[in-house]
Amino acid sequence: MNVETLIWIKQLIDYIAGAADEPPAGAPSFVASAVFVGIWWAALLVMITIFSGQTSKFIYIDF
Amino acid sequence: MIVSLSVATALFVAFNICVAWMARNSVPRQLLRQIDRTRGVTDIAIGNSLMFSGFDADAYDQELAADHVVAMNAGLGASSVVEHLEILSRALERDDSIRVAIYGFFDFQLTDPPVTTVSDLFGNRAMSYYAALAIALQFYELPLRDRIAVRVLSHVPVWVDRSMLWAKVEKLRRAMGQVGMPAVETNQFGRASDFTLLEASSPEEFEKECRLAIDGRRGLSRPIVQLIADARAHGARVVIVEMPLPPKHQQEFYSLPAWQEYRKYVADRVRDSGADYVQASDWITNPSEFSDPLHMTAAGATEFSRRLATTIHPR
Repeated sequence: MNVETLIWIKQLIDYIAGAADEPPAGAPSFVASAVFVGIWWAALLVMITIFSGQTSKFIYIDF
Repeated sequence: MIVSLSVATALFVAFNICVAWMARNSVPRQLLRQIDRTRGVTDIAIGNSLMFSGFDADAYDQELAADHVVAMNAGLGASSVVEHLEILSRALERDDSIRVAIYGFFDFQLTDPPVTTVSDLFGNRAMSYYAALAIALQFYELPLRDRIAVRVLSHVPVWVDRSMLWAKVEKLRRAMGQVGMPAVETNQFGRASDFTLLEASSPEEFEKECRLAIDGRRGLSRPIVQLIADARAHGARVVIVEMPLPPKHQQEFYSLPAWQEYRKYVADRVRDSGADYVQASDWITNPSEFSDPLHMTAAGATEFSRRLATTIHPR
């Protein structure tokens, strides 16, 4: 993996995460589709649900 | 934009359905189902994980075989007095054979006000969302914003049963944290050493809590008063049990004069409410009969339950 590839991945992530308005050249066309954006938002919601909100005093675990 | 929102919403709804399915056999739901289908129980034990792990219904029954006693352990780990009230209300509603309600507590559980926030209602305490929301809203001391949130969020499985996901993530985190490290002692409830966090930080702090309750003339918390009243209204006797705790907890906290005074104070309040008080905290003296700083082992539970049976039903 060369530096150009890393930069391309960064630009792709920037686009998916909303930091850039346009995908980098050569990005798969589906990343700009409305359906993919919907899936991405849902995935983020799921990730937030799974990982955020736990406290450091998570003692009892038998649920 | 509308397409993206629609897709995200549809997937999130699907995720909610998945979580609801995953949580269909959660510990509180299993307990509620057990209560719903069991008939003929005469003695029901209620409380948190100390009661759940400490009450051996079979040993209790065997000790009282001649008296036709049928005991049930309705203890629920990591639960509070409001859930205990919900559990007893449900049991009394469905089974009119209950004659004795045994309620186990430790430290200041009887007099601590049921102050909570919406974020505290997770894990087994999430039972309040689906078991008896009306009781939860009546007895939890919730800020108005949280009361509204509880009503709304009770319809969102991802919120109600988020602990199903969190527990899995936490177990994975703990397993990864153990890689290359010496094994830590665990039991069914988690890491044994973590349960020291549920004890007072020092004897001075514990003494301060005792004084706050006594000097503030703090009565029994409202859910406890209601629990006793409900049981008595159904013709059941209520026995409040100071649960066995390890010798270390006895020496460090329960030997303090302030606790002796608090114990007398709270026992008087219990008797005034029409319930009996059993001081069982020093019944188990062998430290090996405790699996962590709070919970009894199976052997400790058997010993405790046999003695409790003969104390409640003397020959």
